[in-house]
Amino acid sequence: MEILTLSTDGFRNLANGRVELHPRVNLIVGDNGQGKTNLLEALALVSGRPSFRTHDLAETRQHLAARAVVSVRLRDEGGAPRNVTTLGFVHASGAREQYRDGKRVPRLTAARSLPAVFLTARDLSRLSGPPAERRRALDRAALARRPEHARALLAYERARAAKTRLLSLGARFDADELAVYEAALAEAGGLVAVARREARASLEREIVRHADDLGTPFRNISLELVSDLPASGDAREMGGALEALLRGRKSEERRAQRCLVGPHRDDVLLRADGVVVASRASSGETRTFLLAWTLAEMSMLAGGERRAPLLAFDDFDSEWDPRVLGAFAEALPEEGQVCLTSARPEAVRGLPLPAGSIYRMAAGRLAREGILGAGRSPENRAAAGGPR
Amino acid sequence: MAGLPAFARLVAALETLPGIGPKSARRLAYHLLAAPEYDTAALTTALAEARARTRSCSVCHALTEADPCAICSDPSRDGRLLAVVEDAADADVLERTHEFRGRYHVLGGALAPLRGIGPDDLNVTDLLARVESPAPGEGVEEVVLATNPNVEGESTALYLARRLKPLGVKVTRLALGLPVGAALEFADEVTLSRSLAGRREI
Repeated sequence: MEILTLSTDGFRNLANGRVELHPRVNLIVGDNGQGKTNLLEALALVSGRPSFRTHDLAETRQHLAARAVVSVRLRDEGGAPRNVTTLGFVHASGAREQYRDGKRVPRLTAARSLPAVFLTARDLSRLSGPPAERRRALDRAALARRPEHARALLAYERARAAKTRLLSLGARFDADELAVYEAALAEAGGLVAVARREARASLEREIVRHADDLGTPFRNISLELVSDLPASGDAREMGGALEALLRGRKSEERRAQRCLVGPHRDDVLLRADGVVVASRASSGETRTFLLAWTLAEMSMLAGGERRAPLLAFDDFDSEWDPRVLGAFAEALPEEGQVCLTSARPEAVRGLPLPAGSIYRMAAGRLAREGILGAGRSPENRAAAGGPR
Repeated sequence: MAGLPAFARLVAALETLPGIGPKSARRLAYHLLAAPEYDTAALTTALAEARARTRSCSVCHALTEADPCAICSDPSRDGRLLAVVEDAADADVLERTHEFRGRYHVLGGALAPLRGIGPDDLNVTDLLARVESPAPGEGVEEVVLATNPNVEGESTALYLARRLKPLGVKVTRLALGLPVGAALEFADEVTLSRSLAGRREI
């Protein structure tokens, strides 16, 4: 999967028009506030993903623009030059729309058309912050394995919203109506629980492998799912367990007027030698694990879709030391497009990155500035590449 | 539309109709006013007349000019069979199949807690009363839940099933599955798994 061109219209501060991307590494340099992160956000939105910067997509629209539009032209790996797909994102009058080859598609279709992993400032708190980001990261891994996970998640969240609404009515709700949404919660919750447990196992395996590539001093790395539901079982058993839990906390839930048990409370803890990484490792070591997690997500996406995913890495040199970044560059898969942003063009000096282009972003305009040489050593390339 | 307040009001009124956005509303308004041959009087009369004469049937809540409606008062209809639909339009669609010989009950929507629509906002109480204490010649034996196969319709069907079953009546749901004349390879996974679950012996 390769993005040939990216076009925007009315999107943030980016100049309207089209830019060509390099099939391998795209390093975008520029001072703060010039639009580097906006470009990565455009890629996130056009590929059906949430914005990593805002919940209110109206913010992405330029002042006085009727709508914000992003589109990319994609080529499949090894596909003929004519075998090109176009993805589009439009945000107008409060609604988000995704297109593929001119036809309106669900966000999930857009996401499957352009597998991608994003690493931005928001991810820096993944290991130490509240559980929601970790849950989302686990769900992304589950989606990479099985795209139908999205449907179960949505069904679960819908049933939970309906149930919360009913509970908030106090004593005035209809018990039979509540039972309908609890049945839906149990059914969808069972599917979500199974998908997350399967994804946890694969994600753990990949994180361990990549943490080793990045040279962490820790051994015995594990990813633990903290959940109200049992550690194993099929969807029916999990659903039954959730039903039993709901029965047990019925009066408590009515008092609290919200859902107190279920997969929406899951947490994922990364442990090294039995201790939670965020509490024990230095912040630098914690961030190294974040890079391992990113590489792990990329491997899972590549495995699921048999296509190397896009990596979009914002401000890539700001939080990591050159040694770790060097190991990360070496560990990148042999194929797949990479977009890096940095405030300092000299940041890549000495890094073993594959060949690519250097661009400068100034006031929303992207201009090609030079080429990035292939700095990978043959022995490292052999170690990093190939099917595993 | 500065200086045309009446025109703006017309556009705003048209925009409240289902499926009509701002652009369509303007196009319709221009057509109604600008086309010289257009008989606005006929339209307004038809609208006013339809509005005045049709009301909801006191038995099934479908649209009717005579109360009770033609279907509710037709003795040849099977009073043992009752189809529950969300809207009057759905009853009309079922009627066009000529397959269903029972009677209807229009709920007037579907459960949607997030939009504040609960059982009290739908014609549920009458439905239960209709099943529990039947009118002469009715005596419902089977209720066919024909709500839409979407999230709201499914929840509504499950809810009604819970309320109807204790009344000792047979409760059935419209089958979900493959569209007629389609190919298996184009069916989505959910539809396909539903049709597997609802397979029948031939």
